[in-house]
Amino acid sequence: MMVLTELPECCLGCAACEAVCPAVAADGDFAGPKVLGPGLWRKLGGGWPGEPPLGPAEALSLGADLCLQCHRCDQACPTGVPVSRLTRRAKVLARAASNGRGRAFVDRLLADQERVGRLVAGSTWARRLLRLSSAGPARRLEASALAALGLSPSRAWPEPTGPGFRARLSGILTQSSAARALPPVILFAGCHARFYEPAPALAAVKVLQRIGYRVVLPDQVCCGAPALGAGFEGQAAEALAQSARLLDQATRRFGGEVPIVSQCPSCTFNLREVMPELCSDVAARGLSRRVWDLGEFLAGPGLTGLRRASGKSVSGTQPAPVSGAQPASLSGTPTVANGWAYHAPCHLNALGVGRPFPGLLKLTGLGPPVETGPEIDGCCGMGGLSGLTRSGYARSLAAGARVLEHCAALARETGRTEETGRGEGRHSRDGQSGQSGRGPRTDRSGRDDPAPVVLSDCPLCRWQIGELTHLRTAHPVELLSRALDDADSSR
Amino acid sequence: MSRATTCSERVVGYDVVVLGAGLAGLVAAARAAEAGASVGIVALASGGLNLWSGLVSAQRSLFDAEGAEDSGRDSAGADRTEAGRPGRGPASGWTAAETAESARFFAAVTGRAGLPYLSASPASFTVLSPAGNPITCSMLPASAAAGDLTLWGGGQESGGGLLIAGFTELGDYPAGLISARAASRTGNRVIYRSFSLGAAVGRGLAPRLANLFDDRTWFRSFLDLSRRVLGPEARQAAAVAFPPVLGVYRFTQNLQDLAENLGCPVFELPALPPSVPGQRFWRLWRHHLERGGRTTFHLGSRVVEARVQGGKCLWVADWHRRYEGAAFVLATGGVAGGGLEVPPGSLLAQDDFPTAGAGSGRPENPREPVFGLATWGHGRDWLSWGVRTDSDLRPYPDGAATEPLGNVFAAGWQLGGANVSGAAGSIFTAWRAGGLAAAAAGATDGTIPAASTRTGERG
Repeated sequence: MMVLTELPECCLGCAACEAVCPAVAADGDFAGPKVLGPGLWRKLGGGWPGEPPLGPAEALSLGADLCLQCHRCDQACPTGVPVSRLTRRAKVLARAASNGRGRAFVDRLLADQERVGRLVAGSTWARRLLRLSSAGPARRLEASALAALGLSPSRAWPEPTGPGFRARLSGILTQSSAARALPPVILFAGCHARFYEPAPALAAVKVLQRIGYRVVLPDQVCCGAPALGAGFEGQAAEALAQSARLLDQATRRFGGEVPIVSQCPSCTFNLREVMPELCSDVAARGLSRRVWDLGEFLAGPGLTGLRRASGKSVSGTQPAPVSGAQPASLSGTPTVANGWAYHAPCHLNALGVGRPFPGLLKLTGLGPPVETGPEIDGCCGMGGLSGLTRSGYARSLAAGARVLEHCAALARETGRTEETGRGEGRHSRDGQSGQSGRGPRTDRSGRDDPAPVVLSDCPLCRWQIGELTHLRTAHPVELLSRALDDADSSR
Repeated sequence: MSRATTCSERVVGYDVVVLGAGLAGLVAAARAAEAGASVGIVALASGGLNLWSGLVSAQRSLFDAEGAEDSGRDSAGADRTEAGRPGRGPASGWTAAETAESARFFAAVTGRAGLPYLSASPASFTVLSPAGNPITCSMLPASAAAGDLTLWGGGQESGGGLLIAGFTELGDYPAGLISARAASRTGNRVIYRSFSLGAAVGRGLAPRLANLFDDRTWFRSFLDLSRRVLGPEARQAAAVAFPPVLGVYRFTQNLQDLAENLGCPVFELPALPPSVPGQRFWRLWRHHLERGGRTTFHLGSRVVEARVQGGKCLWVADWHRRYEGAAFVLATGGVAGGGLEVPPGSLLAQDDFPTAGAGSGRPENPREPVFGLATWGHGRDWLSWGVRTDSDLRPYPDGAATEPLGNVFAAGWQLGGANVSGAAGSIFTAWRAGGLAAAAAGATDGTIPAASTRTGERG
């Protein structure tokens, strides 16, 4: 492992980290990763002779809480300084100073996703009743409720999954004795799938089973990423320790070498990269080495099974792309008749696994992605959960401006070149929506929408892009699952 | 650094594994991918690209046929006696035809990636450096093209002179100093105008301003502002120079709009790091390579283990994965070279170049990482060390070995050991290493000559 305390000394002060930082681009008050990472760390390490070390108030005044933890700085540093890990320490330090301030409540709320999940689920009936009356006042009331909590009134929160998540997932688990003989894989679904959007987790289960694995769904809690993002390191460590305990228990039932797969790159990052750092026990270290990103797993150990399932020979010449797709068998998954674009989440980038899904989709016969520019590779700006807060909303739009503009342009271009009538239809939908001109999330079943589908592994990237561009979004495994179903039904 | 620490269960395989994602790594990957190879890039970070001005300058112009002859090499390729540097470094074997070919390849790929470059082989461009001194370049981004000295006067009385625009928000860009220096060094009329981008902008480094220039709405207001501030003088000038912050993505369009708006040619000057042109290069080339579908980026990876058997490298590993390859390109030199930390002698041997710089011996500690930061501070200058290779860029596994590794190729101005500094050396060695690696991996589609084919003989 790298020796954290020595590496800041390698900082040349070149500011390459600032060149790629979405928070620097968004906010002139943010001191940036160079100062908050190696710079502050040098000062904390004793400072210059005769100078007192910097404290929490200084870290906060430098804007340490504004770091999005996208880890892009790490991949820009020419001397290998782990900038984002150092900046995280500044965030934790700044938390001590900001705890007494107004933002502390909403940060604390969002850091505890189990609580937010219950809150959203509890408000479901109230929200539905409100919507029975006219849309305008209901939306305004919901907005003021969000604002009162310190959340951005412009965000349209997704419908909760409800208490049936485990039941729905268990319902599609194959339980036959033949299935029990297959190699086991633990699925770590993550909070967003558990509380709001089960489709990616369901699709992951279906794909893993289809290619010859037995999927195991142990009890699970939050990975700790939301807490860590807000600077609550102790809370994150607790969540990770609890996750480690639950995953360890599940693993023991199978003799210890079961891969742990997650379709959420942020969960994967936290379990793989942060767990060994914050949880010192040996089990956590052993566990983290077996954590896989879903795409990484499917492109690695799962590839043979995937090729077989998609009807391609195992020796595998690249299949010819087949355009379009058949009707959905997984309800609600958008079709790709008008193409798809892929946005790689920051945490997938930070995992160093490449971008497995575009290649996997090609393998299963999905047509090539629509032409996109390099802008789509940037950060969407959501920055974990900070983009959901009242104070972070505008900043999240600024940080993700290039990605959002580019996606919006994709929607406009397709709308223009295909059918103008539909383009106007979308406009009138826009006109109805809330005061900011940004409507609720795009209807996922809007099949005749002429715009391409934006695929992304991260639920918050999908939320940000879907809400602000009105493009339909999906996790790539949802399309992969349907492509496999199509291959089966055509046989 | 024992084997138990790397994760052997996770194995990925490619035709060509490129270590390093700086200029050399990206160029080598592009060449191998265009030859039909699947390419895995294993890199800690983007190397020195975020610091790079984007200019391809050369102390001794590598892309210049005369340069080749000057340095005692036969441009026809008939005599490759490796004069001056026996068995060391790739520059011992290059020919003018090959270097010109590598420049053509680079210009073609970067054009397709959306970042057009102008190539001047065998002539050269003269542009202003970040300090206002005239420097010669063999290639330069199209955004800097109108800055060629000969175009805006170059000392001629008839020239209309140069107007240098500066932004008060951009602290690292001393327009006045550049202007004074440029005037005295070129004998030309050079004036400057620094102005504020507006109270709302605030001070910032180049990347933050570049992000602003990508905002179309804001840029329209900037067009009005620049016409107001620069308009009268711009009409008199032969060209107007801007700091290189005119957008990370929209720079081509922005330059065009500015030129129309001001009614004269505009261009970007190079500036101090963090550099927007280098950042453009990283983002656009990465996007281009990933879109091509043959290249996978494994970033955040520090290679800590390599397995060599039977004169060939079988795999390298970082803390997470093992990367198997039919051929390997080592391109982890660059600014600090932290991407490769295998013990010396296990994959390659560190070597001091006797002809360049004032290198004074190897690090004392034999366990020190190769080409890590530890290599600094041993009395070495940049360019004074590299790896010991044969003329086909293949490194020798250790100082005493008589045979080089069969499927490993070194690239970059540091590892590849070109005796020219900077981008030109990176591009040439990477072009060659990428082609040789693709051929060694058997992935060549016929456009890449076999390792033994001399470009000079083909021509």
